[in-house]
Amino acid sequence: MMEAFLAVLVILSTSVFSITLSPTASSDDAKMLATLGMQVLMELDNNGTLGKFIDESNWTAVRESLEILLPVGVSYNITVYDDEMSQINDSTISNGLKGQRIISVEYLCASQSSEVRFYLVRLQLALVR
Amino acid sequence: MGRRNDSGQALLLGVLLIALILLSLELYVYEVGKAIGEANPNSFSDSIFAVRLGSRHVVVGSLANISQGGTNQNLESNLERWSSFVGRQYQLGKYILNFTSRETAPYSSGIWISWGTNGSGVSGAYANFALKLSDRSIEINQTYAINVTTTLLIQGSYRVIGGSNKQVNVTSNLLNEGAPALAKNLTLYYNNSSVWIVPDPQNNYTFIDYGNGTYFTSFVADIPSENIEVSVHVSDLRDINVQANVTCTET
Repeated sequence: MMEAFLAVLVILSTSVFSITLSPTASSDDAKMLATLGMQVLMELDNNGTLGKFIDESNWTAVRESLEILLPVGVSYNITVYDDEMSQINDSTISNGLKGQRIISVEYLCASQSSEVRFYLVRLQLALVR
Repeated sequence: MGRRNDSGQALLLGVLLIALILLSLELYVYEVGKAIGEANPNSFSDSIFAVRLGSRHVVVGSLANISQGGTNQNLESNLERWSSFVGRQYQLGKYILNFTSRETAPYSSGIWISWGTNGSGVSGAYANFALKLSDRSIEINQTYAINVTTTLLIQGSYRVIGGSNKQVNVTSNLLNEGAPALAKNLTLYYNNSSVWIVPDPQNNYTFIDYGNGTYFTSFVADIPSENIEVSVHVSDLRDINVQANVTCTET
């Protein structure tokens, strides 16, 4: 009798754990954040503004632009690398990245200046719950 | 009694085993689900669009450089650097970006610079691209062309206002890819005895920006010749330079 009760308990616990482990919700959030991140970067880069800000090391302008374009409730951190993959932003560009799941998108940026420089922009995003 | 205990323990062990198998399967599905979530079709299309946008910026930047005095080969050298940079990224798979710069007339090495004396000036660049993005499950091929053209059209006229004093009017139209565009800088010169001079306020210089890519300039100068040549030098908002010259007609 006791063994049967324990067996039922084990089966029930496993089922409950399985339901909580379902990836659907977090996966949807991750897709949404990844799409949002790419679209925000493309919007900022559409007329060459992102590359211009990076050329000028104007990290304040990058931060202010992201805070206008990203919706409330999304935290971010951005890191900019040159074409040798050396980090070039010497100050933190972030609103305090925090969240249960952090996603990362990488964006290839070419500046429109006559020197034509290339950058890899890594944007990390998370939903603040 | 002993046999009942044995069967109970066997049941418990069996259930534990099944639970372990179920949990392992769940964990596997969870991990696979995460991987699929990180490489959805939107990611591929956004990534391809970003490379196209970058290609456009490279062509614009190269044309700006060449129109400011750089050599035509700068376009190909910048595109080679861009292609190599893109090829070193593996965010969603392997990228291969090939390009060819246009060689059909009037282009040479993908560049068309024609700053004429007939009232028209063109600075243009043209390149074709083939982008291949592949990973274990998908292969995407896309071809696209980038055409960047800054055109300046000018018209000039003058009227004699006494002796050799003349009032000269010049209208300039700036276009980016055939659509009206704004200028960052516009400088007007006139030719007086083979010397190119920029009119100043002493020449009653007037400048009107209509805000739609059309600019009107007017000045008064003592020019003995009846052939009044003017030259307009413009830099657009992308820093692409273009010039055009015209001989003004008398009205």
